[in-house]
Amino acid sequence: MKIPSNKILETIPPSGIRKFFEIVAENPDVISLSVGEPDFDAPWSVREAAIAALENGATHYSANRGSSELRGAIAKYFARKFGVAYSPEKEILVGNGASEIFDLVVRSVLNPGDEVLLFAPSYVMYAPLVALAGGTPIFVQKISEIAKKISPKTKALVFGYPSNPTGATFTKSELTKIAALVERNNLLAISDEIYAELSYETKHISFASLPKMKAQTATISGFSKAFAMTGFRLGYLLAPENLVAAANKIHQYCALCANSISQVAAIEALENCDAEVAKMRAEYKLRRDFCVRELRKMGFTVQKPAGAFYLFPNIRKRTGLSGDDFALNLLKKERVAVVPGSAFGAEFADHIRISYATGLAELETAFERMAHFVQSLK
Amino acid sequence: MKQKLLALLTKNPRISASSLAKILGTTAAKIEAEIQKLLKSGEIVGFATILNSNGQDEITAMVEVRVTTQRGRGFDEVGERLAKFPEVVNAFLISGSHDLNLLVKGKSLADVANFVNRKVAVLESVTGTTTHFLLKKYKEDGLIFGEKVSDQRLKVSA
Ligand SMILES: Cc1ncc(COP(=O)(O)O)c(C=O)c1O
Repeated sequence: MKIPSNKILETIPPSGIRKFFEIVAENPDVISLSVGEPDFDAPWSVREAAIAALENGATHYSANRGSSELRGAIAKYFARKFGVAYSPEKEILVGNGASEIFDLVVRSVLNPGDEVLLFAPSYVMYAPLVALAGGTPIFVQKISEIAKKISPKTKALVFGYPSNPTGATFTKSELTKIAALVERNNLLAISDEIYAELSYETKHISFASLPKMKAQTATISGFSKAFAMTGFRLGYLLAPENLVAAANKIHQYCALCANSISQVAAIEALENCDAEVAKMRAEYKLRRDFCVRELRKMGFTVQKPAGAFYLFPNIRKRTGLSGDDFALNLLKKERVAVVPGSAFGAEFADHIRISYATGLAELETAFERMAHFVQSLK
Repeated sequence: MKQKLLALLTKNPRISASSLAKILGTTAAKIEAEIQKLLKSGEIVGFATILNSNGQDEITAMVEVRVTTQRGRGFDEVGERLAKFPEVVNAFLISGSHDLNLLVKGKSLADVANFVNRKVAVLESVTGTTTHFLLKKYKEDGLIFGEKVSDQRLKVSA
């Protein structure tokens, strides 16, 4: 028998990041600057809370939307950090990571043929999940391109800041421009703010905190990045009541609820881990400054990223190589792994993504090797 | 720069001046000069090596010392005097049921007991001592003893 297959899924190429993974896995002595998660383990108090949760029998389903205690803690946290108040009963949904939440949102709002504007380059999950939900992803690189690409079919605008893969964030005036477009064209803004707490010089401004925006924004966040809790698989949606209800309808059938143990641990993260988060943020900042300086010494033009833990330099201008060739040769000759920009779209074939979620000692060796590689090119 | 330098040195005293220079965006000469300055001013007291000497060829004891202070002779006098003994690794003045807390090292139980009896208990202002022998170390100076866990992450992820 031929296993039936989904026609949309057939059009989606496998992740460019996965392809690279297989080569790296074969080289044990590789320093990997291609990891999209913190090198820190989750704070011990969070892990301790998870252990206690298990001991206390948190081995059952929670409410579909997440335990009321966690939703209450999320509401308090978001108001305290970003000044936006959400109702724990009606406007918050907890899911299995920001990933599931994004999937739920696009499946809740799209009909076949609807268009969704996405910023490029952006995190690899957005376009495939929009397509699977029946939507058509339309890419923009700048805010000024948005107006031209809006059609009667455009339903939503997706953006994530600070950004994976560039580390860039939006300024207040950029956000205001986006808000004006969202309002004028009646779009749903889907704002992925999972890196919000990893903003270095400027304080993160949540999109929903802009005038009138709360009513047309789905804010997505989670515990993976700032709290180094990737394996806990926990994220959340903050959105208008009817969108949360719709997303929960899918969530209750496809996931039932998020991991109960993780939910208990997450409360500890939100309520008692400011100092741990600040410590990790300071360490990332030190590494960022180091990486930027080293790349500039090698002759690359790089902007200092405002947040997250990525750099996305164009390497063609300095080396004449494509991102794919650069990444492959760097891996083979110097045993340093970076992600080729092509993984984020063909237009970024001249870039590489460098993650600095790696300790300073390893970063130093990696950049020495990279400098040696760049030197050898001419 | 000073605060960052101190933080990096605290985490890894063996980090080279050239690594520090790269991380902090300065020169190795400037780093060396700054470290010398901090040593001279006493802000950095010294650099220590933590051995994993859990119960091997060395005996460690926590010694509680109770002290009476007399006019003109404060805790500092006793504290500073005891601190000079090479057997005393740590010496703290603390609040609570006793006054000085010493960490004492020796080659054997008898060694440590002798030291406490002959050098500490005999001091005029010392009114009593309690010695607790150390059985096992789990953590010292922020460093956890035991197996190092390697990076468990996938080598490439989005
Ligand atoms: C921008 C962005 N959003 C979401 C995610 C996924 O987060 P989660 O672990 O909560 O599913 C990532 C992970 O790399 C990310 O970079």
